[in-house]
Amino acid sequence: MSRDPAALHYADTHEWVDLDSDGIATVGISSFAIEQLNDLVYMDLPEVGTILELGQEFGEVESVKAVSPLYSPVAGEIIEVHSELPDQLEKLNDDPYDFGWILKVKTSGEAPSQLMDHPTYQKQCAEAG
Amino acid sequence: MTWIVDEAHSFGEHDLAGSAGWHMSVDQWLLDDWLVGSPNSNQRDDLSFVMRLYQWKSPTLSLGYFQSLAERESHHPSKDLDLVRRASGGGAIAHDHELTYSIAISNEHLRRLLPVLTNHPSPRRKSIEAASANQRLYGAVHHWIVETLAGLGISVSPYSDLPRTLVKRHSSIDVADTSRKDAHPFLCFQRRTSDDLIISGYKVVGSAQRRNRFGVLQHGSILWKSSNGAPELPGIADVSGTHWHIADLRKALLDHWADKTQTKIREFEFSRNQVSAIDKICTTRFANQRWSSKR
Repeated sequence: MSRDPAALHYADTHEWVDLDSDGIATVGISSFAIEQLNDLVYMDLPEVGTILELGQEFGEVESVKAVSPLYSPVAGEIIEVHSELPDQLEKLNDDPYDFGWILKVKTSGEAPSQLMDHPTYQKQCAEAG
Repeated sequence: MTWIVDEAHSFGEHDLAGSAGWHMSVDQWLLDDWLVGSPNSNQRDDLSFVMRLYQWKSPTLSLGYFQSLAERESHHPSKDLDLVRRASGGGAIAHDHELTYSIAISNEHLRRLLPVLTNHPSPRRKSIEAASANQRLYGAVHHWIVETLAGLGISVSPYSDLPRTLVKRHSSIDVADTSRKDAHPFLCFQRRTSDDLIISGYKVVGSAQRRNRFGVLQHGSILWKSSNGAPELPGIADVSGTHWHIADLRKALLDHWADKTQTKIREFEFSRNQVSAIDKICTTRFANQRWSSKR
């Protein structure tokens, strides 16, 4: 079943979060971010078992000769990474919310208060132009 | 205020000063420490950024952040050069007879600088969000270089302004033409992106960036003369025959920057603690063989 972007939470650094009832957060980057980054060519992912703090850098991407960090929108332990993604970055453009998932993180179960709902995030993107 | 780093004055006593690892470490410190500190703010009214214009103590090959060390084997002329891995993206560069610039600027000041350098509005703020503004920084800074070189009687043009038949005749590849990473040439100056600066079909100015949530570091090479480490790449002086020297270019760039931005240029004074912090970055990362060979 496809993930609904309107049902996700978003960080101000443009990562999306899908938090299930078991406290597992699936994390990716939004379609707006992918469009802004423009032509991703490399992505580095962390290792399973890494403990992430809220806002901590968990990976890096390269686009147009620029390297940018990815920031964790949740705290917890990484229990799975999408290891096929770095070799298929071109698919991110078409499917950022399903194929484009990056991490699964075991969290305490509650979404951080800093995260935005979809309407608020859309407003941020609109203000950004 | 534009803060310029006087390399000899600031670091002349330091053993590592001028080395490849040191240069990359100063740039990284500007992004990670200086930008997060006092100037990274909406609290300061004036435009404020730190600029460096530097040269390399010995010819050095820098790899792009994601490049594999093994790729180096494909380029024999540079095999004996010192090596460093940049924190920025793109292809490898043989740093020798060139002037390297770097500029660290917060997202807020970037938003205000772009209209000064160009006429492009760019209201962006956060890391990824600022990508479009960051990408415009390539063109904006290169525009300053184009104008400066024009003042020295040298005409260079952005790749995007030139007919492809001219700029593709020297074994170069437009990275936008292929998504295959393995099709990208090893050397940055054999790749082409829209803001790269070209003279007589040869790329002579290229830049790359490292970003964080606070701002962006952009550094780039102005290739002045060909290097034995990359003899296939002529520099501006080789192609134009100009009598100017790199020192003349450095002065002209600073003078034009001051005119264009209407900012005062002052020397950036490093504290002892700041130099220690740069030294730590250098020894743990850029001058560390594990870092250079991490891929």
